[in-house]
Amino acid sequence: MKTKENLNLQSEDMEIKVDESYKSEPFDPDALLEVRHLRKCFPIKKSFTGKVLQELVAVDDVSFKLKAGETIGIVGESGCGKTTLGRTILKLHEPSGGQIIFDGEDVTNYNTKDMRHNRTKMQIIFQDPYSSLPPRSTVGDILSEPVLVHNIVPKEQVKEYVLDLMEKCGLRDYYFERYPHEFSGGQRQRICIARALSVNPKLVICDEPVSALDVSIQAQIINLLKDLQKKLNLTYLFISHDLSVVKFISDRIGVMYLGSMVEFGNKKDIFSNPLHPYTKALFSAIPNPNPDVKMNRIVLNGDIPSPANPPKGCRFHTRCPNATERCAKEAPCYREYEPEHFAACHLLEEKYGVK
Amino acid sequence: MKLKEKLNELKNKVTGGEKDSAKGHYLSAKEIRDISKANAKVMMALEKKKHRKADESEFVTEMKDNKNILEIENLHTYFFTDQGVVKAVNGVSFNIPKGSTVGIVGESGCGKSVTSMSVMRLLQGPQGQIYSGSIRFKSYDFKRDGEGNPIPVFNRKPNGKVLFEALKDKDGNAVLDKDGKPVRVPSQKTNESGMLMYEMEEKVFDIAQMPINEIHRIRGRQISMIFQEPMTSLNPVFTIGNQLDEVVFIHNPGATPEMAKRRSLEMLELVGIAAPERVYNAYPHELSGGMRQRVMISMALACDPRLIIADEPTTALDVTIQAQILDLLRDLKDRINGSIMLITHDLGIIAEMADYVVVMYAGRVIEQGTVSEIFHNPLHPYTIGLQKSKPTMDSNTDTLFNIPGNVPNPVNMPKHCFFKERCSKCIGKCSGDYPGMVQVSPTHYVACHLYGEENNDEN
Repeated sequence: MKTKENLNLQSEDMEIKVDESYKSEPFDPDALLEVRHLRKCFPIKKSFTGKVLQELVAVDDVSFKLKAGETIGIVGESGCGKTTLGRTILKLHEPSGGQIIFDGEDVTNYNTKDMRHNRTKMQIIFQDPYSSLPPRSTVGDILSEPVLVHNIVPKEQVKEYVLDLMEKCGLRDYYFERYPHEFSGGQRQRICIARALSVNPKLVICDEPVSALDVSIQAQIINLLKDLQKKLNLTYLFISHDLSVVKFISDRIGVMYLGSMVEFGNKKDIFSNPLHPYTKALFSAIPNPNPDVKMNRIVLNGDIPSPANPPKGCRFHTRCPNATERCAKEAPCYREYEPEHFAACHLLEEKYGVK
Repeated sequence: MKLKEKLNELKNKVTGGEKDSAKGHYLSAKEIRDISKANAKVMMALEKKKHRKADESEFVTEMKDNKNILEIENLHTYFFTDQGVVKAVNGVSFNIPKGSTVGIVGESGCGKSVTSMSVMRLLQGPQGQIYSGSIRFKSYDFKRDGEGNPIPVFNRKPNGKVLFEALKDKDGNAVLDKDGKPVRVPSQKTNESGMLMYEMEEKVFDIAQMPINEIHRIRGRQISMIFQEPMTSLNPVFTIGNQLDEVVFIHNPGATPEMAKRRSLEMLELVGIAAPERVYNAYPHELSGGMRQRVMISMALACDPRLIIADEPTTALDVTIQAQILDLLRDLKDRINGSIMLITHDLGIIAEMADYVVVMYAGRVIEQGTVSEIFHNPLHPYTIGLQKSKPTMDSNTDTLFNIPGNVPNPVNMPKHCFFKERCSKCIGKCSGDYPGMVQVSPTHYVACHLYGEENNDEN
């Protein structure tokens, strides 16, 4: 049964197989995490025999490097693949293509067993503190379990270690015996942060850690994350849809749209000189809490296309105010247009005179 | 000395610290029984009042200021739970002037949604009840004859006599009487969108005193609501057209299916849906989040409401879609000449949309004023903290200002200022009674001891 999708899929597979030269390139010694052409697909239609007929490309050809001690913010709208990217880096999802190099090791093809010793180095903080804590365990149990499993400290010292950790995260010592339902959202998020830090990780992936919290609590958690980074020399991959929060916490920022990175660069460059039209529209869409400033808002028409059936050519061309004929046919190349400032747009090629 | 210290320590262990805070949480079975017994009595009385049959004169009042469309005065909305009475709205007063947008800001649990639910009388009974206070609304209702039926407006001849026309059945054929003559009825006037017209009059209703079976005269037709979750507020088993038509049928006596469809399509077009005919026949799951919110807005506008309550209309949407919806709301407000009560926790949206701002905290209004007063000259420490704790696009600070602690437990609120435990500017007076509203400028009010009359000289 050769359907249209099937044919498309095969041709896409071919393209990927051709370009695999990057895999033999040496690893960057400065980078804690290096992501090369990462791709993650989810099957959405399978034939009777289990062959994938149609798939959803959640993350498509994303590359970046994360240096130790810095924070990269990933922004984008819902469904743009930012959460999938975070989870694929942690290998909570199996990557469909590309390469993940963590701490000098190529972890792309590691199985669960191999990943185990890496789990102490990379951790995640989830979005919803109400559903990511086990309701039947006390805070003490929640925080001690990873310490015991990974043998971080000798058994006798576990309680002392956990209490010390709780103090670092702003939790009182008598919370040790309490259950998660007794806490408010902000406190729960502190427990989640403490749990992630209990194994002394190097990299922490923060998947919208403050989206479910109130504004005044958000500030507490963001400050805590910043403090801990300074104290423990942590590296963050901060995923959020809230641009102002991302701007506050990040050193570098990546903007995602429909599974691919459209712009990536230093915080200053991105905010002072956004290159991609989507980034410009995204920045102008944020309401400014100053009633006197009237913004020249770029309002995008329409909705995000379905990732199961993305538009051909540049994925943004259906909503782009400056789209040309070429945008509908050809996918743009992801290039470095200014030092350390990457973007993927045809219009930039003309502007910067790149062939 | 040592003994005294030890004793104090013991006392602290029993009464102070953790135990004290935990006390509110754990109730014995007997205590719970007692509370629910006491609650049942109050709830019964309030439910009876809600379902009573009342004459119109009981709930028709006068507006204090004729410029306002809605006046909320000293509103108390309580929830009677087994843990105690939750005073979700505890003495809230504010006005919505005609043609303006009033933004209500506050964190979750501060009572902003419950205030809007009280206005709509959508509180979950019997636990949720309007305990006291008044909500005066200037309605533009049908004029009614002695039997309570609306009086139609007829087409008239130039000499003032009512114009008659032949009655037609569904297929367009004339209806004949016994003698074979066509039945003639007075022809009713229609407005530009094809709806039948009735005689209207302006009346002021006290929504809080209205019996629940009278509320449909206001709810949906004159005050309508845009809910937060467009995904869950539309019925998944009916088409969009079906749900839109229903609104028209309910609130327009004598509306025919053709009239309803025409009106629905008109509304869909008004909210910027490109293919109204296609959306009319679609089911909610076929639409995206932004489209669903547009449908919700068109549903709210179907009866030309005088007041639209938008309860976090963009919280569930993406930033770029949010920008579209906010633009649409602003545009529509001018077009239908209505007022908007905008509930949100995002100060940015308030700054862009609102004319007046009401800041709520733990069930009370703590500050209100025009948008420039609140943003350029915030007075209450909570308002100041709220503004500082949100990182903005232009700010370049290293650490964010944060308000320590959490919102207090809604059961057993303290007598003193609710913000005292989290406030950085506490003075001695704060341990006393709850501060009253202080007028700072003709439009700016704040509830804080720092701005009391005696302190005016210092500040």
